Amino acid sequence: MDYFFQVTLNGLMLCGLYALMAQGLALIWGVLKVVNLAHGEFIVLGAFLAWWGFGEFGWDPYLAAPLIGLVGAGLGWLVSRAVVLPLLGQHFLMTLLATFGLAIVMQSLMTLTFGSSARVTDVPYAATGFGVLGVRVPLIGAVNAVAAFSVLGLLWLFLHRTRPGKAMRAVSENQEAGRLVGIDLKKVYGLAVAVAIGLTTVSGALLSSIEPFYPFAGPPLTLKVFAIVALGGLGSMRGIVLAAALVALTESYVGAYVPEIGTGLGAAVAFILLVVVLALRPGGVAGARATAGHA
Amino acid sequence: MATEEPFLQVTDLHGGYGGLDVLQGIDIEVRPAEVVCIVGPNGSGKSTLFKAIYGLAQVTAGRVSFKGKDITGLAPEAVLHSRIGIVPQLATVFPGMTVQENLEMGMYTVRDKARVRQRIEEMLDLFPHLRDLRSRPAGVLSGGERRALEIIRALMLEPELVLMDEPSAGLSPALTAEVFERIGELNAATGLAFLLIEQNAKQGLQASHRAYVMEMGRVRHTGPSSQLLEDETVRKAFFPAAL
Repeated sequence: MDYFFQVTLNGLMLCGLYALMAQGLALIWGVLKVVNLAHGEFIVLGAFLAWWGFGEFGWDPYLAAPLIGLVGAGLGWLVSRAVVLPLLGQHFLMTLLATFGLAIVMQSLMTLTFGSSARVTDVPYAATGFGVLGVRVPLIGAVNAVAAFSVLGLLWLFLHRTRPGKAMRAVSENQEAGRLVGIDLKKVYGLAVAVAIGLTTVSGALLSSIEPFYPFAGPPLTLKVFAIVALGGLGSMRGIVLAAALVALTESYVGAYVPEIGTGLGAAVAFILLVVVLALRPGGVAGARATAGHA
Repeated sequence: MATEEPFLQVTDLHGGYGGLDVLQGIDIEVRPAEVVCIVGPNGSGKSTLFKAIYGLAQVTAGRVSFKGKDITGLAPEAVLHSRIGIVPQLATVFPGMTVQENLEMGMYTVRDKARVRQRIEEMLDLFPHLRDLRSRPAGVLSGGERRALEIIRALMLEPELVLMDEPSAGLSPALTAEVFERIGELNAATGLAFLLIEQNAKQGLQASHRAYVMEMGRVRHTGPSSQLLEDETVRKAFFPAAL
């Protein structure tokens, strides 16, 4: 029974990270109705920045995460101006192709800059843990979960308590009505992409010390995250957290109880869950609408 | 009813969608403190005319001016800044946001929070039953409650003219009567001008000072609403069932 609790805890500790990884994709989809195929590459970029900061300057990845998020937000703003906004209003395949191209460029640049080997940010407390009720809690997992849920909480506050956050929610719910109340759509689009990419690079920083990553690790991450967003109901923050928990727990159980499969098929597990859940609940686990941060 | 110079003036307007001119040379005007209604059968171009005024339909020729300023082809956000409120026909509430948040969005361009709060209370006085629903998501409101919310949200910025497409759309007869009553009260108390599109011709004519009857993208008749209500030719040709 202790083993079951241990496996469950391991899964739950990943839930916040998966939800954070998914939120950026959901935000861009909700506000701009664009699927960012370079999403996984931004997660990997965040991981590499954390690894580089730790190796070069000894920066702890969790403490460096806000700075990495700011760098990501700046990049996101540039991407919105250079890649996404010029293509809005054209056929949706144009933005898909553009973000696919961006993914390839990012993979090549990361290979040139950081090399092609798999990396992990080897923080000194990686093997530290403590026991609670017979279950071992790895310190890094606990820190990861607290950090991820803290960032999600800040995002919720931003979307529900600030003027630009509310404008993002409004535009994601009804673009035409957004224009009719005087919202500048281009500004909101740019802000949404900046916030989304900032969150995504932060999730990469959190990922960097618990899972190996390499320049070509982006596509499977994009697939897994896409499945989580679809499972959650395309844009519901509560739905995404539930979907992330479902995927993380299923991965953990499959890894522990079906060792022939192990943990290497995360995206496949997520998509099998997606097919099953959407067959039973077409609106996703929360049955929500496609909006930004609709709680 | 005021008889001053026109507030809104639409002159020989042509326009539509995708290069197709639905509007074939429209001339209308709204004077200060006036309630003007546009009636006509489905497909006559009434909603296209509205969209052309606030920048969501293409204008190929002609001019739209408000208080002497050319606003032809301006985007909706720029039209709002000219102090024109817009209530479109289609549902435009933000369903996942609360009634309070929807009203806040009506004053999105104003950063003075105290002023926004005060204006929300003033607007909720117009439809007091919305006051009890202010923390509910707009998506759970009834059709009538949503329409009332759209109307007061358009009034948040203290417009001088409100364009309202089908005020009675989706409303029960009782709520329709309430909406028209509020329009009359606001017009009488504050001098707020309205340009209405109304499918229910009788109701629209009864609620307005003047009216235009549109057909096939053109204005066929115009005059004081009370006269159009009594005009046998207009009644027989355009709304025999409604009258």
